[in-house]
Amino acid sequence: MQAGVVVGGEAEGRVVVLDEPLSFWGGFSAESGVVTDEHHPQAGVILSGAIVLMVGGRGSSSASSVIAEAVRLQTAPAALVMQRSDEILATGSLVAQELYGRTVPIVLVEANSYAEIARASHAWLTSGGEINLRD
Amino acid sequence: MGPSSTPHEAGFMKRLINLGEGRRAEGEEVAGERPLREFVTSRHQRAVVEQELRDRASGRSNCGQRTARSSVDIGHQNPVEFGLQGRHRVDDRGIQRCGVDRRSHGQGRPPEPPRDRLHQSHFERAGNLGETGLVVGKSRLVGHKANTRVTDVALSLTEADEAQLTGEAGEANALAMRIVTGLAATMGATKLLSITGAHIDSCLFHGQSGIDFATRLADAGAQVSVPTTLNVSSIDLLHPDLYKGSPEGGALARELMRLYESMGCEPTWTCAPYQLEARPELGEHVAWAESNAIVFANSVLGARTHRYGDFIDICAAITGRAPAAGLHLDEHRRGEILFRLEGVSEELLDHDVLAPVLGYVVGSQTGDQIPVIEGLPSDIPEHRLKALGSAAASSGAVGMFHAVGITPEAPTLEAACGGRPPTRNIAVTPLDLRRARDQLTTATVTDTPLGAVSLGTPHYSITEFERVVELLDGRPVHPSVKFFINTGRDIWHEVGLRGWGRSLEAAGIQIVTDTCTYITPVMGEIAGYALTDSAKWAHYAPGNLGIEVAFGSVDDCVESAVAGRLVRNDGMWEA
Repeated sequence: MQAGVVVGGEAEGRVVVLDEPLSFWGGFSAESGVVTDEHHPQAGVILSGAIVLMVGGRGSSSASSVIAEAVRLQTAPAALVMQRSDEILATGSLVAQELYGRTVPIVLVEANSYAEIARASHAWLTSGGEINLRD
Repeated sequence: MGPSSTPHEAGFMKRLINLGEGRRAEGEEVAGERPLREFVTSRHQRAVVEQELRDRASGRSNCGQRTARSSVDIGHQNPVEFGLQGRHRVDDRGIQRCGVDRRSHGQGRPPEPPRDRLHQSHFERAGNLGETGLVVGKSRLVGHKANTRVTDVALSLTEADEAQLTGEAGEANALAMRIVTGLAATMGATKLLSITGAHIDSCLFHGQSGIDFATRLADAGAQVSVPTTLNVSSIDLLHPDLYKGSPEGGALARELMRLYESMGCEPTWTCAPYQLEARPELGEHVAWAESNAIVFANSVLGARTHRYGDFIDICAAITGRAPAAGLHLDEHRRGEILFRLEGVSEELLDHDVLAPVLGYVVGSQTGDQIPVIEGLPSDIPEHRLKALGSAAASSGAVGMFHAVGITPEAPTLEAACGGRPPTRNIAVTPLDLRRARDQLTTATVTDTPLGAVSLGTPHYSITEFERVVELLDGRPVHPSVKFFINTGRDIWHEVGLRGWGRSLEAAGIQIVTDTCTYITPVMGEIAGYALTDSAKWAHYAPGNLGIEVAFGSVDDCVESAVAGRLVRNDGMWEA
């Protein structure tokens, strides 16, 4: 399946679905890679190394920093698969690339594909935005 | 998938030219610039780049013109997601089709580019930037699924933009412009626009990455080119003893503050720059970060900023430019979802506490769309609009709202929605509000003591201080309760001039400036839960501080602080 590339890169990992958008600042720990927002349905879930599905962005403009810091500490998601782009997250990915030569790729898919990826256990993303799945 | 040849990529070509001309040996460091190895690591690749330059000189890749946006109809297909395949492909395609737009000759779908050496070079260049490579693109799906169109990004840069991008204005501007144009590409912007000011959130310490980025800029001599204010930091410079975090963390936070001041930013240290004397006017383009400030600028002032995050804020301030996209443009400022207050009591409508709770409801149901709110009193004061927006930006990704008959771009519902009907109509009832209010309380308030009260998220205004002084009416805070009010140093100065400062402190209230109680360890040990009048604080504090919180009105907060236990007026929440 082909996704639209916001910030490209290769990634591979288990699929984690966030049932609600997450503010990465105030909702995710760059130190531990865990969702810390107690109001969030996935509170306590580890996002590090995962292909994280989240329909859109949310909350704090400090999320850019948290993404960059998580990339530095190697606790970041492997990639973000979204339905709507979020400039705050994209900025974090772009800056992480500048600073550390690594990034969190961000791709966009439509609702049908999103649901299909959500059903998979594992996903592979190419730098061109191609996504392959394992059930 | 659309090919494109764009000035942005032309800028990229120029960067390659600079590499080819200005840098020789592998890994050689050029003073004030990034090492060559970050771009080109092998002799082979350098050869490829040089070949590219020769090709360019011979006219084969004469892509230097500023071109118009390209749009490709990919025909009648099933639901698809398409995007630019990345800069490396865009570049090579751009070069392939330069001068002749193949698509204009009746081809429904452009040919795949040959994987020639040039393509290889770009591909490898991307690979050399890191494990994952840098690919920036944006897909925009237009139309219905049976006939999906993909609109490519084509970012037109002015000569001045290109000069910044290529390093003519120094390496700091080049780095800043790379980030600005990179983000512009993800947003589908076709050009940049000039801003008149910026508000920086990057000055709040979140880890070494923030220092790394600011140091990279400052060491390269970065200076902001527009008036730029600074958001909160982790340290209260007026009350430095309040900070109870690690000395190392404190030192890093101070270093980050110093770095941003060194780039010419004003040390305002407030999350409410709209409470400063100078603020942007209707229609003015700015680049503001800090979610509550963004909403206020767009909604209440009618200024124009997209939802900017850390890093891009300072990059926009340095370059003076921002993507002409998102909330900068009329078409993205139209209201989409209508929230209508129904059956809400006069008492609640006339009370401060409605705004944050309503904002929390609106944000959670709006996501990143633009809500329109109908039914608020037309004389609603600014501090309530501030509370509404900050709550909506916490429960959702709201960058702007319209309040019909109140905010400047919403004289009528029709005007707020740009003449189109809203896509959804949502009635907000007393039950919805009560539920949201209850969601904001994580503490079991019956079993736990009240340990603290925190007001001023976003930073309290003069009006809000005045209300606290009135409510307190000379009574002291109960000794078992720690009471904090967060505000900007400018407001605190004025509070002092009005004679309120000393009486608030005498009552046992700790003023916190330059920072905020939920982002940095200043509250110390709390014996019990914390009560707040801020939906934003209530939303973030449990995760940030690991404490239990309760939400109430400012009246509830003051009465509870005096009594040493929760005193909440529940009556007005009934239908």
